[in-house]
Amino acid sequence: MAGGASAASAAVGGGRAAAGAGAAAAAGAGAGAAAGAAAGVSAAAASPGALPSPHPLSLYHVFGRIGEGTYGVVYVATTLSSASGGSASSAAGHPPQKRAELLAGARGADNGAGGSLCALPHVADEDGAAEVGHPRTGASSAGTQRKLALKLLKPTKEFDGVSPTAVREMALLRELNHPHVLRLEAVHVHVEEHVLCMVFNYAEYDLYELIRHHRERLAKSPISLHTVKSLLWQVLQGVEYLHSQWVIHRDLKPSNILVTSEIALGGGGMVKIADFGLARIFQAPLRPLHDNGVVVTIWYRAPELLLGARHYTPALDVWAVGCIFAELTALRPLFQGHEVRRSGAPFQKDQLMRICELLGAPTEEIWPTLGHLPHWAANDENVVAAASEASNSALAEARKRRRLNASTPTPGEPPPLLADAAAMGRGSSAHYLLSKMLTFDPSARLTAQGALNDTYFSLEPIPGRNALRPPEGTGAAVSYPPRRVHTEDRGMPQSSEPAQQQQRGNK
Amino acid sequence: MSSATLHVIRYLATQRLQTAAVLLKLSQTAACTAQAILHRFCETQEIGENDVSAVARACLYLGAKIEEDARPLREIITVFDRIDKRRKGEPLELLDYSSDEYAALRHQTVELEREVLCELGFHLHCEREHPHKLAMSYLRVLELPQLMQAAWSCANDSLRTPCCVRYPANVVACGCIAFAARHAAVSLPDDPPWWHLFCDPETEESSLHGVLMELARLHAWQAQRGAA
Repeated sequence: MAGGASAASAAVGGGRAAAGAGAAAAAGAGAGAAAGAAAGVSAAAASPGALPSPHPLSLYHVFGRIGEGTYGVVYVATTLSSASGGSASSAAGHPPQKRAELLAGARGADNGAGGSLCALPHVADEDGAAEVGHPRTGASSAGTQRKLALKLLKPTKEFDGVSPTAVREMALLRELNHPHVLRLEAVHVHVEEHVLCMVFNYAEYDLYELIRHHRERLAKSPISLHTVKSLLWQVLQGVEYLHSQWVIHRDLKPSNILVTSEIALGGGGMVKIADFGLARIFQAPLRPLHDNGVVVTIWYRAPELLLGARHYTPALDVWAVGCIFAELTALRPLFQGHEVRRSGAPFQKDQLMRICELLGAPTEEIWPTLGHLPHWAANDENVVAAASEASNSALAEARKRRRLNASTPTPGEPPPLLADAAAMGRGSSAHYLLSKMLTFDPSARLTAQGALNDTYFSLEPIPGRNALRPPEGTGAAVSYPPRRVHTEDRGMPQSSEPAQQQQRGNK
Repeated sequence: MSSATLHVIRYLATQRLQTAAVLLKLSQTAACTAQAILHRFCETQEIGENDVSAVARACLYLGAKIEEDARPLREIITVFDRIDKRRKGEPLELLDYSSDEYAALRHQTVELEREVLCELGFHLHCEREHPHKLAMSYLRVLELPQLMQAAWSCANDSLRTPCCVRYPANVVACGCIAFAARHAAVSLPDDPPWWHLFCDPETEESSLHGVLMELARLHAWQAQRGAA
């Protein structure tokens, strides 16, 4: 088995013993493949709508590219008719051993036919001629294809095997199962080509595009209160689930919060949290978490991280959700700091100053462990004085513009400038909830569970399961543009822009 | 292949893996996770004696990544190469990184890693619970701190046996304590039996015996190898 072994195939079992047993049963599919592995990997075999063979993408009808980043490229696709078994593979023009074997139908046998893509009935044949409904959608939906998102990971430069990020993301997603967490449907591994492909359910929208649509196309008309509340409610449900499973996402931002469209299985207007490339388990961490390098896109980064905290807690996800909440109401990022781009993990002072402008400067009184945070303790770039300076000048500025009636913010009240920046009524339940999610001290910050219990959610409008459809009789739903699909330049080399901009630009 | 041979294959593979982990200064957690992965892989794949190093190498490479203690593939290959050379009594020359031999080893490891991932169906977090910390907390409950070192070593040993894929971690932890106590001639509370606190008395007694058998078998094998 050493050397030229080809793709093995594994059905997914449940626990540790079952994983082994399942694999044994399914191993037959890949068993004959070893002999031909070395020869002719690059043999061209044209397949309609797919990248050069033999490739995981050739198992799907690929429409085009919807995003890319440093990690790889995301395509939108539907399943081909030939997704099962060796004969189908041959029919598609590839000898079985050259095809990526289907490795992991994501959720195990208890899911019935839907559990593994192997078992999917034909959705569309090679030419896209025949269309058969998906078993879960029933006969009535014949003609609606089940869309999938294929995340194709770039082969690592140094030919260094599966990247630790991919290992982490897949391992976590295999364990997670929640309506508001994007579901991993399957993983394809192509042994000879070193291609790794994760298959997700497709979600048409994401919060970045939703917000942008309102800001740029709808003349900054606000997102409806019902939609904001439902989206926030669902995001918090997902985050609460992750935290209950001892997972911190660490990279929550609008472009990572997907929303399904009306025709999606399982219902439209549903939040799906995506991109677990930076997520990790925080149960009994033996190594300090900061060893992975600093994470979280800077605008959504919690103050304890900005100040160099070494241990990550679930509270940083709540901070990020708070920032997203304000962005949903104000249609622009709450704290738009300028990122210092330098190697290592530079102190992002500007980002912290933006926070202090709206929330006031942190003190040891409201944040007892403040003095232990490296950048604060060392007073890097004179941060202590700069924080009060930023806070005071922001207040003075507001007073000059007569936006602030009270001379100083009242203790116990949420910061007034925060309400203005987030376009919320001062003293409204939204304002209170936001300020509790944006508490400086991570141990005093609201938890996801606490946020879900907030009165904000028990006031009208009550959050709904479909965030995009307003309740009966309260106006029409906004129709959002579908995700842009790039079809022409699929073969183009990827640009070398910084990852953060790329992600935002393409999501 | 006979069950005895299969056992020996596992012993050899985990031993090489453990040696490499020490040479690479990897955390013991990474070594344990890698060993557990190896045992899971062995449950489905028959491994010949010639593949032992290759499989151990791929499992260690993957285990280190899972436990966020990743090492460059080059380091892992170099260390395993050195172990193999030492074992065969060959001169300990460094691998030439531009050689075909190195390229082949690299290719083999990357392919095997993928194969392992596939075999495990990407379920990688289920072996995170190693018996070590359970054994330590049980000993604290039993107020037998003098057994901690020996039980810890037994817990490491248990990862050399298929215990981690056959029995739950609490039973393995109890087996380690019992084995350590036997060797140190320390008597454990008998009435009611101490392990009733940590295991199900109805269903887990035979598993506990199984763990003890596995540990004894490993020690017998090592003693025999030491003598030979």
